[in-house]
Amino acid sequence: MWLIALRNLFGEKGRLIITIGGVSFAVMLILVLLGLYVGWERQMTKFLGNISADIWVGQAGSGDISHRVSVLPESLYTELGEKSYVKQVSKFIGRQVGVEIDGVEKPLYIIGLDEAKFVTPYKLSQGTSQPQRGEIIVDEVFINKHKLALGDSITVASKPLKIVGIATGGNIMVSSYTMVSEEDARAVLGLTDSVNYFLIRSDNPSYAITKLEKDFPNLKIMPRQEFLDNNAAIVKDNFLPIIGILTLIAFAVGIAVIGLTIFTAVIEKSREYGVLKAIGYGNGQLFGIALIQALIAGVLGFALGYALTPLVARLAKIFESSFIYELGSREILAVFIATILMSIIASFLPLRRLLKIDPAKVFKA
Amino acid sequence: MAILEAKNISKSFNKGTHTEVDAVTDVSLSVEAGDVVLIMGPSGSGKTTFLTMLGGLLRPSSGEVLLDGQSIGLLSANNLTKLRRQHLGFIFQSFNLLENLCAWENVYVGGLGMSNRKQKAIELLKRLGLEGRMHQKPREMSGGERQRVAIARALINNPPIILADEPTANLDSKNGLEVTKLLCEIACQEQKAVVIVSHDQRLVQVAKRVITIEDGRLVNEVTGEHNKYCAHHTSQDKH
Repeated sequence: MWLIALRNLFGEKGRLIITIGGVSFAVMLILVLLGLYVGWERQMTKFLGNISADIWVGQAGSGDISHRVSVLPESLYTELGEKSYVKQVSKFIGRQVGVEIDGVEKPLYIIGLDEAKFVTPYKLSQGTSQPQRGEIIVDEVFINKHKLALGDSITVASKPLKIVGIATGGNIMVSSYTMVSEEDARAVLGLTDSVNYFLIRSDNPSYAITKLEKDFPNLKIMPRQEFLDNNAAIVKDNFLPIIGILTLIAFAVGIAVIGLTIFTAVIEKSREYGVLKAIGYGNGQLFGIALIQALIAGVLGFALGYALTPLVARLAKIFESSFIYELGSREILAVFIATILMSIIASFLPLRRLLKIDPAKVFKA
Repeated sequence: MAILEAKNISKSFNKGTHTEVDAVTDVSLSVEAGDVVLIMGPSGSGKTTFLTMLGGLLRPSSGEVLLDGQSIGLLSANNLTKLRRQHLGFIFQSFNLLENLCAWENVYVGGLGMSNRKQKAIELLKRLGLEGRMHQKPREMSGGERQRVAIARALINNPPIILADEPTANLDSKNGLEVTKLLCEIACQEQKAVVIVSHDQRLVQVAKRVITIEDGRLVNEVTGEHNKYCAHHTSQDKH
């Protein structure tokens, strides 16, 4: 069976190239979509994960940094700091605001740097990590997109801020994290005697959480991971269904490409399949030949698609600086399994045709 | 003892419609090991339909085909396929080789389920004088060479019965004679039963029996010229 399958597949080079090309396109599409999804999911928590707090304390009903806004009285700061199970407490002041760039309002997430330095840029690529009053650190995706540079000024809530640092890891799709001094953050966001979250460090976070929940029943106490998960869920909830549909379309394209190739091959070679039936090949063995061809086409298509995906992603990044692509071995394995599934499903397409081939017809000249 | 037997078999197509055709009507035939039966008759007389029924590729409308005493009409499709593989070798008019496979591979695929089949395929091709053509694709070979590859494919499973449909029709006279000689050798040296459907009068010389089918009916059976032709028999007769 292998011999016939291999010879049939590699004997028609043009068709093989089209098949592998088609499958690799489908694989590439799936990998790019998954890479985009994983990239965004990780990106959403990259900056927040870098904040060295064990516990986030927010207003009841809050949960993530973008959608469920938290505002708390600053007076809680002392109260929290006095608790024996709290090692250190800090204030998180941050909210998304509109910034006018070339007459168009763009969203930026303004964060005030705290004295205790819980909050730091994810990775500073240029300038300083400590903006003073009237200064700002901006993410490089925002910088590149709007052709800004160190030393330029942007106006946030009528307050001009000079760019003194460029950081990476702060881009979150619709916005990006920027850092200013605490005073500027308060001025821009209008938070004079309130904060958005309190950040807590503790030697025993799980014990501290239990105690905090007991001592402050009206506050939302979130372990670090829960807070990160809540933020990652923004991507999951909003983009996963879309990515899922697009992946399914790519999957269907892959099935169609392999299926049509194998189907065409069966039609073209129906006389040969008839001969094989006549000389003692069963339907199962003929299906085996189609399946092997589909699997080989699928694996080769996967290999090509996998090899080309980073190049496509790099190309996409040139055109769109916010394009993020990250893939782990789990996702790659999932796509490989999907490709094998594609091949198996595709090999069933010519099955009816194979079953209908009449071996008696081969006696006709 | 008959290894292949047709008992009053008939075949009608489009039965019950106004286009009903009786391709074969009430034909019986008994074939023994070493037999060479030539089936002749005009085009459209039902010869090939009869052969396909003998080969278990077409079920008769009535009557039965017995292979080694076993009625094949009762077998499931899978068992019939297996039986064909083990008991029958087919030779076709248009060779029916797989185009993407070279000579030895074409023979090899005929030996499904056999051990050492590559070695056997090569041995057979050598025996049939195709030693230098092992790696040629069918399109790179002459008609005679292709038919010899097809004969090797039919023989690889060492089946007791060979069914040949117009084996010399697409060959020139030289190649036609070679194939005729080969069929004779297969019957005489290996004691295989050979059933040939053909218009080619040259094949009368290798046949032990010649039957004629006209309008789907067996109309005549005569003795062939096998004993005169076959070198093997001639030398045996001398002794």
